Amino acid sequence: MNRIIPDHPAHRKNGVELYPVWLRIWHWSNALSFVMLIASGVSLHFAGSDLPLIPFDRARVLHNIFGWLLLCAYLVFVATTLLGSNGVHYRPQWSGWMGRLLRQALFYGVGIFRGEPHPFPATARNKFNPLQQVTYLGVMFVAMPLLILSGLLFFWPQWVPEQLWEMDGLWVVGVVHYLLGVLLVAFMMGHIYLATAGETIWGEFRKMVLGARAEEE
Amino acid sequence: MIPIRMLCLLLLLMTLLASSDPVAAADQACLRCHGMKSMAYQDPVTGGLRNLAIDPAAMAASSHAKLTCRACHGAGFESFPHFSETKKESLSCLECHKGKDGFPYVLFESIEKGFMRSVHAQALPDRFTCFSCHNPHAFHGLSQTRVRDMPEQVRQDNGICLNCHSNQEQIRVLTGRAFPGLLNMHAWLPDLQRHWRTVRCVECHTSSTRPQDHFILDKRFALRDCVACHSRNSVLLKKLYLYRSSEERQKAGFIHSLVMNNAYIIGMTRNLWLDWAGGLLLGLTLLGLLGHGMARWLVARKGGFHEQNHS
Repeated sequence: MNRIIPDHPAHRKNGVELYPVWLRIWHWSNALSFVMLIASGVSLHFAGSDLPLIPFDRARVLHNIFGWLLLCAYLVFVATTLLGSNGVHYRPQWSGWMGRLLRQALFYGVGIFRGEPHPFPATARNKFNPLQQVTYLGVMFVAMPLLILSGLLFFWPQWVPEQLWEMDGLWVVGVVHYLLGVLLVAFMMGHIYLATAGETIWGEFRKMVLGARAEEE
Repeated sequence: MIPIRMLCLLLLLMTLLASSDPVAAADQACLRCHGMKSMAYQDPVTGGLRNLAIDPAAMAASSHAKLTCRACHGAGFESFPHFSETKKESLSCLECHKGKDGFPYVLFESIEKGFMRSVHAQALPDRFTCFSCHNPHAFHGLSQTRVRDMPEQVRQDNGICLNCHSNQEQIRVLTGRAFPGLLNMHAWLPDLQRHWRTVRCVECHTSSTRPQDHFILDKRFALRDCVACHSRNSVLLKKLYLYRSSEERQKAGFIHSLVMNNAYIIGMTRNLWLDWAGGLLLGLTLLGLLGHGMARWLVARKGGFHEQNHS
């Protein structure tokens, strides 16, 4: 089995870097975009309420800037996944997929409280556990493109049909954008929490800052 | 002798022929000249061209279709050429539209008050009248066109303002000076063309939330607050969407509340059901994660198990 080696100058030549520098920059750029888009999106959505919000005109500019940054980061993801080596982690092994999924769920539901080891530790060829993989597939290949597309349509509303299912087309796009935004906020909450459920509480955060290597088989 | 049946048919035919003509017989003489599209004269004061042509079809479709020319224009116009004194007549809409049966007195009194305080009446007290904006020979009551076609309503209402404000020549004739370009004045507004297509000038250029308010503000006091429209208590609900939203408020139930917002405006058309659903999902997610984390902490504390030893 592969073993994760925390990044250290002495280990730099051994194994494969699971979190290369470009990926860490990409990850934290996404994190920044998410936080800014949530803050500005909430400010636009609940404008005029008693909540402590960013002023509307400033929130609009912030939402536009970080929306474009998120799109750029997404294009980087698509390019590295389709053309580079990053895609290997997103390729599901269908044989025994459900069994592995249940095993991981059982670990989070029971095993983690018993101090059992992680059933699927990160390897050079598969750094995601089965639950992570299925969630990331849904997020990166379904929710994110739809969220970005629905956001882009607000720049070119003339592309939206006047009517969709007997409702104003732009209203439907707005609701889709809102619902996907809520789902991705829920994803982000789970993502941050599960990062504390690694080998140590802060270990996963450290890896995403300093990098980590996995020995090759 | 003509048989009675034949006489009745003849009378019916004459009635039909008479009623199919949009112009009342009494108005034929007036329209002999004023029906010509080129009917105009040069205003000796401003030097501008004053259009005196009437479109009979537009008149027939207007709110004033049932009125003859003489109902508003005095007896002096019977003779031709019209006497100079006659041509100086000063018409006032409020002669009919205020204090007479069939018209809501309070509404027109309020319109008059608002107009008298407006930047138009204040800046051009002798030259700006109801007719500067409303053409009585084509005017179609807003309550008749409102709601059915919102973009058309906006286009019609903004057209009244743009008739002068997008026409420097017209403005110069009326005020004797040039106005800054509309595009520059509204450059602060994002997605300007879309705003102009979907909301009326008066949403920001009147202070009141009364739908027929005519208190047009000086540009320095025009509304410049995004949240005034982009919020759940949007002023648009009391102006542009007044009639539409009152119709929609009568509908009940979840589905209707979902579909009622059939014009998307960021901040205004958020749906409370979806807001609650989103809040509930995030609340439950947070509770679940906190519960799981708390359980991990308690187990580790009780059993002496430390997550550092996981691997």
